[in-house]
Amino acid sequence: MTQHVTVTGKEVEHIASLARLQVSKKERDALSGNLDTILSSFSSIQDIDTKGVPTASDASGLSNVLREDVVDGEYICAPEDVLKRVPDVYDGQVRVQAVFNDKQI
Amino acid sequence: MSEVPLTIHATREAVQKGDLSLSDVINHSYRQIGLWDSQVHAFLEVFENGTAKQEGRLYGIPIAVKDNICTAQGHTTAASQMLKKFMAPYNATAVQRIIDEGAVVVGKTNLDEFGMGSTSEYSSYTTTKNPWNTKHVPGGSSGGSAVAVASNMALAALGTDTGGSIRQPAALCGTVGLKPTYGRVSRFGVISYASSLDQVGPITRTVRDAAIMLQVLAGQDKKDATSSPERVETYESYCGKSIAGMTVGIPKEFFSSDLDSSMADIVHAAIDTFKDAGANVKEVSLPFTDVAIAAYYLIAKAEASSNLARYDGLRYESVDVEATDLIDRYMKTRGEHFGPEVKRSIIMGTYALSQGYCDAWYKQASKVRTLIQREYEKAFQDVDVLATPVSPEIAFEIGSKMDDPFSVYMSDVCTVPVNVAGLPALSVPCGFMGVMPVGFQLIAPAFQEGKLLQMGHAYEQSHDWWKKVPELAK
Repeated sequence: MTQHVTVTGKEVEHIASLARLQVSKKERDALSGNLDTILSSFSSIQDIDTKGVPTASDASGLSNVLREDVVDGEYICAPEDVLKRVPDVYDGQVRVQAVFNDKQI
Repeated sequence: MSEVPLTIHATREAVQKGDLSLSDVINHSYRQIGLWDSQVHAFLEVFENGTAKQEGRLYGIPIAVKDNICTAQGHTTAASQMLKKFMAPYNATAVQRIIDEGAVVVGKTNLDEFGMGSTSEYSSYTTTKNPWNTKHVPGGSSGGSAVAVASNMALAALGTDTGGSIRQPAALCGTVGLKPTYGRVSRFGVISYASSLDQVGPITRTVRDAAIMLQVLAGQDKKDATSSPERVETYESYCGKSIAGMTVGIPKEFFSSDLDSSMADIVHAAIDTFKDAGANVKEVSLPFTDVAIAAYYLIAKAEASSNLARYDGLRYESVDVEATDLIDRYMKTRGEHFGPEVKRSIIMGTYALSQGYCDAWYKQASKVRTLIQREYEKAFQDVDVLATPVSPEIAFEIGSKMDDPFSVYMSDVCTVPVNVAGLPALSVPCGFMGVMPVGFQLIAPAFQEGKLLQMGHAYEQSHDWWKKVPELAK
């Protein structure tokens, strides 16, 4: 059975801030409506008895293996190739705005 | 010069016999692009004057690449404003493998932004049009790749399939689409949408060409830890094998009342072809089909919300925003450069993973995924392959569902269970409704792509749908 799920505009705002995503008021209202429709329709998934059923990770059936901790040049992109694509570089490093600004300190 | 054939297989033969030169082949591809791409918008970028780097199994074959797959040449935008200026420093493994076999990459094809969509309308650059009727969508998200092949602009194209993004546009454009088993083809250099579901595969005109492409693409890659060590078979050898005695399962849940009745008739007629060739057909039941779409979207969007966290405006070339501090920069960069479906995905995925909701949504979906995988394993104890529709309807008109994202989600109902279960599946053209193509889907157990190619090729031998070319591209 599907049940009615409501995701309010305020909840969308909260989620958007967690996801570091600016949304306008218009977008917020549209997203709230979209999520109501989509999640209400998907809510029947909660009726399925999954007691004792493990979560699936992916379909490959592979288990994790660690490689040896040695440098393999084939994996490595030259630092200058990477930095060429970075908007703001200073002395071979990525420069960003201050993480801690006056307000937060 | 004789005419360039429609397939890789025939083109290779014509070149070997000396009936065609490599320049005839590549020039034909560029000529088709020049003539028709302004009408169908399959390409985001064309790589002019491409040549084969070396001889190989795809020597001189023009191939188009979906623009969420990294190429060292040109841009890789994933059809997003976020990556407008991004030029990848390397080729994806799939691209490197076709180049190493002599293929010529003719350009990058349009898609729904980051692969999120089923119509190619969510590209932030252009809307790709269906060459059979340019008022209609080509399907998606690999819409540009399907249109490039359907319009003879390339003999094959690479696509990616997270929930049907190779098979559905292939069907809606009258081409063949192969989604390999999860892990069969390396994902290295593919821009991630949902890492546990994404898979690279070919769009071609025939099943044999899909086999030729898969042979080049398949195999373990140390740059992708989820690529499988499973042995790679000789796929082309399955094309031409008898299908007598094989069993085709028809899952009744895929033929529900929501399916267009003419579409159901066409798919049933396709399945009858297998009976005529000596295969057994039996009805089977996959009761979790109904909830597969919910499980799929909850998992896909949760993974997407995590994968897309990397787009913060501090890497992948500059993104112009006026920001007061770092958090403000993140918020604005993402708010101003992601499109509507990507935002919807991030919000839905973050919601499904957030504290208080994670158990009810994401974890429950992941458990249901296990049940779906088990259900398919059980079904394959009795049948060799499953046959279903690809899409519940033919390509609809551009713009007709733009305001209704939920109904676009529901158009993936026949394709997403395959990704949830990690299985291989093939979409094969099987007729027309009016002027618009229809395809049917074959699904096989994990790593048994050979069976798909065997059945698909057998079907193709008794029909010539694949020879049909849209008027526009003739």
